[in-house]
Amino acid sequence: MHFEDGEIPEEYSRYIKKKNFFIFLVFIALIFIIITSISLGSVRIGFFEVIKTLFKNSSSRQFELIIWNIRLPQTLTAIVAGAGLASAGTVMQSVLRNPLASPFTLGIAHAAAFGAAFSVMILGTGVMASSLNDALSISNPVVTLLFAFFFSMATACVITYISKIRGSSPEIMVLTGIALGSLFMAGTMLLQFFADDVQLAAMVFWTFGDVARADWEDFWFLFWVTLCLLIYFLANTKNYNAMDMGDETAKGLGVKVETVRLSAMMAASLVTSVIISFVGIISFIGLVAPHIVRRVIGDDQRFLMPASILVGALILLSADIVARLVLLPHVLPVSIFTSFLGAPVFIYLIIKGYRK
Amino acid sequence: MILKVNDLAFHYKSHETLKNVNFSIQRGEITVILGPNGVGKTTLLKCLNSILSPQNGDILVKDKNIKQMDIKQIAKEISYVAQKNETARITAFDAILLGRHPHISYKTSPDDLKKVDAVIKRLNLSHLCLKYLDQMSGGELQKVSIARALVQQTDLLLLDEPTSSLDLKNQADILGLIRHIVKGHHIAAIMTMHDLNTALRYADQYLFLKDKTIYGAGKIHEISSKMVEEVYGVSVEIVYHNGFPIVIPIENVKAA
Repeated sequence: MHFEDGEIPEEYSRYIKKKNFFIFLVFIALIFIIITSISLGSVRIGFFEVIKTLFKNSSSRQFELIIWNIRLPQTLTAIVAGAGLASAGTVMQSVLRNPLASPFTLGIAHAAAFGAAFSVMILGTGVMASSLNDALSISNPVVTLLFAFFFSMATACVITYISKIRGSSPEIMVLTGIALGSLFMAGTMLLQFFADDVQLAAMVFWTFGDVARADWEDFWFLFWVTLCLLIYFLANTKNYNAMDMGDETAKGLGVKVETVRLSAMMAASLVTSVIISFVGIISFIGLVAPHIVRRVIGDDQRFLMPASILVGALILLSADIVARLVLLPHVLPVSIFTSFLGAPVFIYLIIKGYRK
Repeated sequence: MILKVNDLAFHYKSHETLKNVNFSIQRGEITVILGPNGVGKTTLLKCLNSILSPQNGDILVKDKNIKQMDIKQIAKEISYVAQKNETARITAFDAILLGRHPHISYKTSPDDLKKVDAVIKRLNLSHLCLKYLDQMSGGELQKVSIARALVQQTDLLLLDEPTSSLDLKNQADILGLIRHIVKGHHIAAIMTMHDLNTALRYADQYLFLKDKTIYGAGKIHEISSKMVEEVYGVSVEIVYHNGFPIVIPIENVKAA
C-alpha cells in the first residue's frame, strides 16, 4: 500500500468503504424497522398509511392519534435509549479496556435506578400509579436525573478507582459490578419494603424497563441530553483509539488518559442515568450492540461508535416490537426481551472467549 | 543539548525507586540505560516524558522544563515505545497513523499520509498495512509500535526494550534504522535493554543504574569489565570485535 503522493490508496479506501457500507446497511434497516414499529401493535396500520400519517396526509383521525400520541414517541424513545445505552457500553469497554463492561454489568444501571427511585419516592419528584403504562410519571426530571446521576457516578468512580489499583481485568470488573449492583438492588428493595401498595406496584413496574411510558415531553428531554453526549463520544473517538493501544502509549501520543477516562465514565453514567430515569432498567444493550459490531467491523472507534449507536437503536426497537406483539393483546416490557437476548450473548462471550 | 535531567527522584508510594539522577543527552546520540532487573530503567524512561511524575528534580527538553509543557506539547518533542504492545482489531496503518495524533487538530492531511508512507516503506511494513493488530506476531507488533513513534517526528525517541520480541534479523534492521534516523536527522534516542552486547553494538553511550541512581556513564568504548561486574555481580571479560565491545560472562561472583 503506497500513499507517497498524500492520496488515500485504493486498498485502504475499499477497506473504509466496507465499514461505511455496514453502517449504511444498519441505517437502512433502522428506517425499515422504525416504520414497522409504528405500523405494528394491537391496531395494525398499513405501511403506506404510516408514511402518509407521518407526513400529515392521513385520512384517518384514529391512525393519526395512535401514531402521533402512542407509537411515534415509543419508537423514538426506543431509538434514543438503545443508541444511548450502546454508546455508553462502547465507551466503557474502551476506556476500561474491558470487553465485558457495560452500564448493566458494572452495576451503574442499578445505581441509577436506585437514585431515581429514591428521588421519586422520598423527594416526590414523580407521580406513582399502579398500572404498567402509567407506573411512574416524572414531574421533576432534573432532580430525578441528578439523583440517578449522583449514584451512577459514584459507582463509576468506584469502578475507575478499582481499575486503577487492581487493573481492569474482565473478572475484577464483573465481580465489582456484581457487588455494586447487589448493593443498589438491596437499596431499592429497602425502599420497596417501606413503600405503600401503590408505590410498591409503581416501583416494580418501573424496574421493568419499558419505552412505552415516555411521552413527548420525556422524549425531548431524553433526546437532547443523549444527543449532546453522543456528539461528545463521537468527537473523542481518536482519543479512545489511542487508549486502545494502552495507557502508556496513549500518554506518549499526547492523550490526557486519566481525564479522558474519567470524563468518558461521567458521560456514560449521565447517559445511562437519563435513560434509566425515564424508561427503567434495560439490560444488556450496552454489552450486546458493541460486541456485534466489533465482530463485523473491528475495534476502530471511528466506525465502532457510530455503528454501535445504530445497532443499539435497532436492537432495542426490534425487541420492543416483539414485546408488543408476542402476547397480544398484552404488551410486555421490552427489558424482558433484552435480557433474553443479552444473557445468552454474555454466556457466549464467556465460553468462546472475549477479545481485547 | 536536547535533554538535561537534574536531581531526579521518584518513588512509588513509600518505595524509593530513583534518587539523585543527573545526566544529559546530546543530539545525534543513542543512549542505552542498562542495569539488573527491577533497578528502575523503565521507571526512569517513563519519568522523562511525564508518563510518571517524578517527586523531585527537573527535566529540560531543549531547555524547556517539561513541568511547564502540556502533554500534547511533550508528545510533539518526545515519542515513546512501550515495552508491552497492546492489541485491538485496528489495522497496522491506522495504528501507525495514531503517531500523528499530537500534530492533527481535526483531519488527517496529505502531509501526514506522506510521513506515514515514508516510515512504512523504511520498515518494510507495506504488506502488513491492512492486517489487524490482533492477528500479528509479537515482532510485527513491535515494528508497528516503533513505526508509530517514528511518524510522531520528535527530536527525542524513548524506547523501552525495543527489540525484546524481535528475531536477530529484525533486531539488526530496527536498531540499524534507529541509528540511521538518529544520525541522519540529528535527533536523539534513549533505550532500555537487557542484552548488553546488542546495546553496545548500536548505542553511543551507556548509563548504568544501580542502587536507585546512575552508577556509571560514558561512551561505549569506555565500558570496563569492573563496572559490569559491580553492577550485575557477574564476572565478565570484554573483548573487541570490529571496534565494538563484546561482554562475555565468565563465572558468578558475589554481588558487589
